[in-house]
Amino acid sequence: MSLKKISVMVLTVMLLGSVIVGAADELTGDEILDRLKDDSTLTGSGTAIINLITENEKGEQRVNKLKIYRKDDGKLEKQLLEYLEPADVKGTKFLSINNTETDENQMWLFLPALGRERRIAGHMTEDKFMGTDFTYDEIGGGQSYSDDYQAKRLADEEFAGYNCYVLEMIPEDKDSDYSKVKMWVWQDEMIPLQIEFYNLDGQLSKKLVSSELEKEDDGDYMPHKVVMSDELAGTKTIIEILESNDEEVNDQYFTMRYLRR
Amino acid sequence: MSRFNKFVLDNPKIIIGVLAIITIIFAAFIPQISFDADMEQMIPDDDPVIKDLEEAIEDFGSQDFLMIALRSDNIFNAGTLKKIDELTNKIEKLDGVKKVMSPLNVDLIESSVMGIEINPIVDKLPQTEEEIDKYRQRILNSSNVGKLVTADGKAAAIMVTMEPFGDLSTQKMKALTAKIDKIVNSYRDPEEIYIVGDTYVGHYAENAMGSDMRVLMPLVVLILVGILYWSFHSARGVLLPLATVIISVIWTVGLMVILGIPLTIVTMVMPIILVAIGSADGIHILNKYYEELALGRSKRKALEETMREMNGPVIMTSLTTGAGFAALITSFVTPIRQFGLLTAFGVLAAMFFSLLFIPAALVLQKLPAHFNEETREHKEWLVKGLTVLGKFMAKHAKVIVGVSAVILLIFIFGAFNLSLESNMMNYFEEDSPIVKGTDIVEDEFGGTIQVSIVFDTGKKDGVKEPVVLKKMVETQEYLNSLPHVSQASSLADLVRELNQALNMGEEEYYRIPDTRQAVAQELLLFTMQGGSGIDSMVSYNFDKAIVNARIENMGSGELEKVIDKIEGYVENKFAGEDDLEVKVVGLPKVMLRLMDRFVASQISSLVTSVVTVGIIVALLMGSWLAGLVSILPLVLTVGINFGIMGYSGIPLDAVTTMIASIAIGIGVDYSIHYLSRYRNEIRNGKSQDEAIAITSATAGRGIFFNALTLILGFGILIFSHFRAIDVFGYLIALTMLISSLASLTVIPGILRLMPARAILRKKYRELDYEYVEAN
Repeated sequence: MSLKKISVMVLTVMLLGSVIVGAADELTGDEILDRLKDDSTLTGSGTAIINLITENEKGEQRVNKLKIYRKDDGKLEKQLLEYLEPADVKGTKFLSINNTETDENQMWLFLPALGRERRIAGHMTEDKFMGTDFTYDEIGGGQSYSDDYQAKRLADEEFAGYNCYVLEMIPEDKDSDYSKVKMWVWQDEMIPLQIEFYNLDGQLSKKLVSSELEKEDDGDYMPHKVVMSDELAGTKTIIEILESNDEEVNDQYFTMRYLRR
Repeated sequence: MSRFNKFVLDNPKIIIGVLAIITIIFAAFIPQISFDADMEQMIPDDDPVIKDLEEAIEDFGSQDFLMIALRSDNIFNAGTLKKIDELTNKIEKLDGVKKVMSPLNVDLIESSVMGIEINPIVDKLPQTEEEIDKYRQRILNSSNVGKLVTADGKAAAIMVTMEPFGDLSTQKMKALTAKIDKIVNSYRDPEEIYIVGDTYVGHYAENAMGSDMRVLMPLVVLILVGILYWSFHSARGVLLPLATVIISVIWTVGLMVILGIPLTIVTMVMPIILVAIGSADGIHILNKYYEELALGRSKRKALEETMREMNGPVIMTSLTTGAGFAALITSFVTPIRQFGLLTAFGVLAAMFFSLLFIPAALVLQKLPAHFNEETREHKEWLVKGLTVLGKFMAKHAKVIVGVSAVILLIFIFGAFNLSLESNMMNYFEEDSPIVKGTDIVEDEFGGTIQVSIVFDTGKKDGVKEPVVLKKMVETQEYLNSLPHVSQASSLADLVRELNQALNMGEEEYYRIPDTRQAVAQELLLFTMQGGSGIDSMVSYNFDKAIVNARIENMGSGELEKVIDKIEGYVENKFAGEDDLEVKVVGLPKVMLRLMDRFVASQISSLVTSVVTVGIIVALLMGSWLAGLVSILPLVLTVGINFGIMGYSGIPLDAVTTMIASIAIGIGVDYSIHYLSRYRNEIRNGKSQDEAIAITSATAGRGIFFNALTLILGFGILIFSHFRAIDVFGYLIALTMLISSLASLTVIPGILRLMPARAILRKKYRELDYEYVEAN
């Protein structure tokens, strides 16, 4: 799982917008990937309210509304996740504090119905994202593409009305689950708008689409909706960013006292 | 000569050419034939039992479980653990496998002073004595005892969950099962390792069907060739009837593929028995042709005479045989209906080719050098024997009829002991891996037949209500208290386990918490912690949940008692609840539904075949009495068949319910041949005793070869991989023996006791009285 990763992911999505626009016409595939990497490095702090929606192959949905607080001072990554909806889990909170120097990770959980916080530990299924079928890397980890893939630039295309670079990427790792990844990157802001993952049989297995790009107060664009769909199983994970804000978060949110409140 | 006969004899090349083209077209479809061994396929899709099951599959995923059972003296040794580990890893890597749960990779929910932890049972494969000892203690103290390992450490189980496939699933599922089978085979010995589960049963059954087809088809063809050669002593005597049946098999199997009917344990019998049945027409036609040639007629003349004489009996016997199979359309069981329809088509196709192809081919062939005079002499002993038999029957008619009636009564009495069986497991041989694997699981881990109880609250998140979960707990406790039922499990177990872990692991907290909020939050935690498997216990919206339990593999009669108890409990307990619908679903329900309908299906197909066949004979022979007499040997045959099944404990199942109708459809042919000849002789002025002696010798000879072909043809089914088909084979061979014997004993007996001409057409009957009076 990842309590940690969910907000890392959300922040990735939010921060993907902060890019430097360059004279990019002559960029090679790998250079485009490098830009993505540089431009979306995870830093900073902020809050966000999101809908995390999982949808099964019949189109039935489970909707969770969450508020995320995050603070990263370079040494400690702190994060608080608070459930707002549905009603029966309202007030459930997860706090995680990750020491990047010692790699020590502490997590606490507060279940209001049971009345007090618990420390949770143990092995997490490292690569799965919140009980969905998607790995963290697939759903949000733009930063690792340039390390993990060799990209070839194909002819530019328009995607959903945006001018895009199109990349065909081959994994460097022989044990990768994918034979090929195809990515559409919005030229103006260097934001990946669609990523297709092909399995070892060459079938399209998963697809990530970012949409509802809106200009934020700081002038950068940010997708407000991210949909990861499993093309073979017919399931989807949808993240809707309802509100976001990159103002500094007060330290009091990352305390036992707030957790219990 | 009829226009049909003239056309055939004048245009042999056109007929053979057209038949060849159509045959090639049908043959082109055959490679696409599919196999299906699913029990659900036995029941019509719109049956409520199937609908309930499909709904449950939609909500909770496939009911099929695949389990790899491993047994040895002690599984806690480095070698065996390594095997389990490698099996787990290899199977996990297969495309289409969602999850593999083994004693080595299972997670434990553990509580610590601080909170809860979900930890793997071991970090690495235990190999040293110390590691193994630690591991043994850890797993034997967990809730996995009885599920993944046995308390005595002699057996382990690996549970495989497959990805939910879309509608095109079957092919993938089969390929996957084949791969797992291959992996498992490479690890067998000294440990016993078997795969258990419906998917594997299907896989095994399909292989077995395939190998049955490859072995039994050539065998039955070989037998036919042998009999044809013995009968005719010439290549054409062998080739023409053989070509006829092969063409009709090609047409029928081609039609089967076009109609999308798969080979099942029932329909797979069709091509094999069609070879045996379809040859009869050709044999009779050739027999007659050689008889005519022997009289010194020209080829054309002999053929005209053969067709004029034989078209009637060939059409009549084919119609009655076809009717016997077609009567199976009244059955409830889908593959039986398909089998009946297809075989009826095949029989008529064989008739059609016998009337078209054989004469056409004979026109094009040179006259044989000799007419097998020696052959006729060679079988003189047979003719003599049959004559003696006929004379004896005529002399002791009353005794014969009386003895037959007594025999019939004795066997009918036995028929009251008939049992019913719809459990597919009983269709397999004792030494098949299916039965062996099932036995291990039954011995070590309890049942292998899954039964489910669906709790439907009718509203979103309804099963998070503690009230509902507590009812599920009660139901589980009830299920576990029943004999032959074990392993009841549901979402309620997970909730209790989580609640306990979140409360310091204290025993008293192994219970459903009091508020819905607590339930929801515990489940949320579980999912966030990476816990999985909830989807197979509860619907996506949490409006429905399922309680699963396993029942020991037993006969469907025993199973019925258990299911009745469970349904009674559910009825009693939840009947009054407005907002909770509780339903029992699963394969056992399918079995019981099948079993429920066996008797009705048997009666309807039996009555239909007797009535149709009787009416066809009566109409074609122009005498109701002839219809009745032709049926009598079959009443005896069917009565003895059911009696034998009753006395020897062979149950009525999907395959054996077909025997009666088939026996009537085919068996009546003997009666028809006998009666036809007898009527001819009487009309020609022979006395009853003379007519019986002549008929027994001539028609009797045809009956002998016909019956021999069928007895041997059906008899080879005993080499099948399926116990059900093996039993079917010898029972139906037995009915062929009885009905042919009966037509040579009971019929002459009865005929002797009636006025000579009573059985003739009306116009001859009246003639008879004048004739009698005049003399």
